[in-house]
Amino acid sequence: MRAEDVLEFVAKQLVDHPDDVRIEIDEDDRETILELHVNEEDLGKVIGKRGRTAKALRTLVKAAGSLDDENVTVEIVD
Amino acid sequence: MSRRITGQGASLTSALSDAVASLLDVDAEKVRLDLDAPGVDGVEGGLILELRVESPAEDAERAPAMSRDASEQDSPQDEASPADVLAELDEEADAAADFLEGLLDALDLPGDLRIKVHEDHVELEVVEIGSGALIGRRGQTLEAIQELVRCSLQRQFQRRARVKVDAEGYRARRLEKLIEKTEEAIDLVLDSGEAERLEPMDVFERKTVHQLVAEVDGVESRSQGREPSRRVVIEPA
Repeated sequence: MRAEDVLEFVAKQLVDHPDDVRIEIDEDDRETILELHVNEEDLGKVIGKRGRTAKALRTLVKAAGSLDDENVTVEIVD
Repeated sequence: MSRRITGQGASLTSALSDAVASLLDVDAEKVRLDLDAPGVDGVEGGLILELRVESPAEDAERAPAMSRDASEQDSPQDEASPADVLAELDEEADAAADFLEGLLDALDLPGDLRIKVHEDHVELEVVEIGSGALIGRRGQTLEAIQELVRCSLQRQFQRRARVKVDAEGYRARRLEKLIEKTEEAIDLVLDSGEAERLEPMDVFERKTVHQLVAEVDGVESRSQGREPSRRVVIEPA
C-alpha cells in the first residue's frame, strides 16, 4: 500500500531513530487508519510546532492513499 | 547570528503585525497589535518595515525551521562566506533530492528532478510525473511535501533549510496568474474608482498582492475576513 510506504519513508526522514519507526494498520471498509509509532524522543519531531509536521504528514499520506482509492488517516501514537 | 525580517502592510499597524508574525513564525491573523501613539494612524500606504534581530547561535538553531518564503529570501547567514553558503546549499540540494527520489519511489510514481541552486536558496522541481498527484487541491500536497523536506533537512543539518519544492511548474504558474489577476484588479480600481475584492488567498499570496499594489500609485490594499476565506481588497488611495 502506497500510503503506508510513504508514511514509513517520510517518518524515517524526520526522526533521529529511524529503526524505531513502526506502523500498525487498522482497517475497516470505510477507512484505513495508519498508526505511527516512533521513539519517544522523536515524538516532537513528527508532530512539529503547533502540529505543523503532523498536519503535513497527514495531507501527504492522504494524497498517497487516494492514489489507491483508499481513505487513509494517520494517527500518531505515543 | 542575525535575521532580517520584513513586514508589509497598508498601515503601520498591519506592517508591524506582518513583521511580528514572520518573526514568531505564526499566521499574520494571529497577531494583534495595538499601537497607541500620536501620528500612528497617519502613517499609511504600502509600508515596508525591516527588522533586524540579533540572536545567539543557540536561539538561531531553534529559529523557525519552516520559515515563510518571503522572509527566507531576506535572511542570509551573515557570517558565512558565499563559498560556505554555496557548499551548504549544495548539501541541502543533495539531501532534498534524496528525499524526493525516495518519496517518488514510495509513491511508485515516475518523475525527474530539476535542481537549481540559487544565491540564497535551492529550488527542486519534480517534472514528468504525469499527474497532479504531488500538487493536490490548491497545491496542498505540494505544500505538505515542501514542509516535510524542510523538516527532514533541518534535523540533518541543524539549521534552517533553504529549499523550495515545485512540481510540474505549479508555483510558477500560480504566481503568473496571481500577478495577472492583481494587475487586472488594479486597473479596474483605477478606472472605476471603486474597490475590488479578490478571491480568498493564503497568507503568501496576499503578501504578493499587497506588494504589487504598493508599487502602484493611486491604489492601496488591505486584507479582509477570516481564514480560510480571507481576501484582499484593493481600493483607490
